[in-house]
Amino acid sequence: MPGSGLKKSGREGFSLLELVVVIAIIGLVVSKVASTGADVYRRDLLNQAITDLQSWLQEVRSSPDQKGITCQVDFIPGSNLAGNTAIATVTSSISSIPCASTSSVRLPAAGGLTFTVSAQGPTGFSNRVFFTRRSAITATTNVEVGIAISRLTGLRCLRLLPVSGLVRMARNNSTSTFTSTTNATTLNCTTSNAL
Amino acid sequence: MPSRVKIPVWRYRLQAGFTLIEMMISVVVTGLAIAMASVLAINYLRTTDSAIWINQARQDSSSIGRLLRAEVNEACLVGQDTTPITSVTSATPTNTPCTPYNACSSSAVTTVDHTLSLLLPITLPNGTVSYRVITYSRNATNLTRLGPPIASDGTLDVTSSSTNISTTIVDTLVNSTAAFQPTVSTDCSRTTISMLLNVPNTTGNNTIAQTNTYAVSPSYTKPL
Repeated sequence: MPGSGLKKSGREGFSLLELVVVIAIIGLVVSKVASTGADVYRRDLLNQAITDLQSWLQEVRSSPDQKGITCQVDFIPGSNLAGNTAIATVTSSISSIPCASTSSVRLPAAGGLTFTVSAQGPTGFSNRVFFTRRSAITATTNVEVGIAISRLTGLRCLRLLPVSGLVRMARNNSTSTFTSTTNATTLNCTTSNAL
Repeated sequence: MPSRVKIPVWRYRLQAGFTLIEMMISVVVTGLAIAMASVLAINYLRTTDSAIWINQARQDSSSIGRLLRAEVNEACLVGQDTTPITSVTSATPTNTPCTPYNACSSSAVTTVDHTLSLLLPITLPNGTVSYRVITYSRNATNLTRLGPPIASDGTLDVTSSSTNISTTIVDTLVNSTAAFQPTVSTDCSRTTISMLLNVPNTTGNNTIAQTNTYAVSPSYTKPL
């Protein structure tokens, strides 16, 4: 019909420009969601690593008083640790009476991601602390354990208070300078930033 | 002239899309639904979080109670003074530092500055008895223990190289004088300790209160 060429019928498709704009917007949204999702996944793994350690230490801490034993805990710091790597082990003073349901605590399975773990304590600490029947530990200053995961800026910390052995967890979501020999406290990973 | 085809009203309305007012109403309703869901989700997370911290505070309270019980049980005297006498002050053979004369009052007392002291007789490898003092005191939200460190077998490390160390064993006391209130019996053989632990990272006034009585070792008889 003459003169009706510019009239849209309502069944015409989108123009190329419209499609490009929509695809670009969808792409941006998807990339942002994917990035955030990956960070959330890594953060969950990191939180799981520190809470697994905390739960395990709480179990170890209650054993000497209940079972009349001494429990020797050895932390195993390191860099680029793969998932399922043991980061602490426990040895009972009486081998037939275990200190915990598992003799070690391991990092969560993390695919291609790796962890960095540090452990710092008083002079002569040597990554070792004893949980005793006195309901007290041998450390005379704070024992600080820090855990970070690759491709995520952030740090999770666990602190054992001296003598009492009370367990505290904390976080710092902005540090990226953590190494296996770093004292977590120096990176402001303190209980004021509780996990 | 071609005749016009009449489109039924219902079909016309189907093809017309939403009006602005319809869109605004749907947006508002959706927003309200999301807001309500968010509030519920946040409340759930807060409740779960509070339960975790309350559980930790209870574990802390229990653990500190066991430590105090163990240390008081090793003592021969509990004192209201920060520096109980640790040497014999009389030629009377029975007058050892563990007799109540040196450290007790004539009546039960609330300890000065909320400080509790324990006098512990330590038998050294050569058979002689040495005396050490462990002091617990509150400083703001911290409970501090001043005393010998702990050896790996759970005993006090009283070797010649070990000196008393000051350690913060609790860092979550309520910041008030009621947070650590020990009282001592007239014969210095028992102490009743009231503690108030703050539950961190929770809103409101969440505290864990505990009051326990601890007695010194039954092997120390008090001449009254």
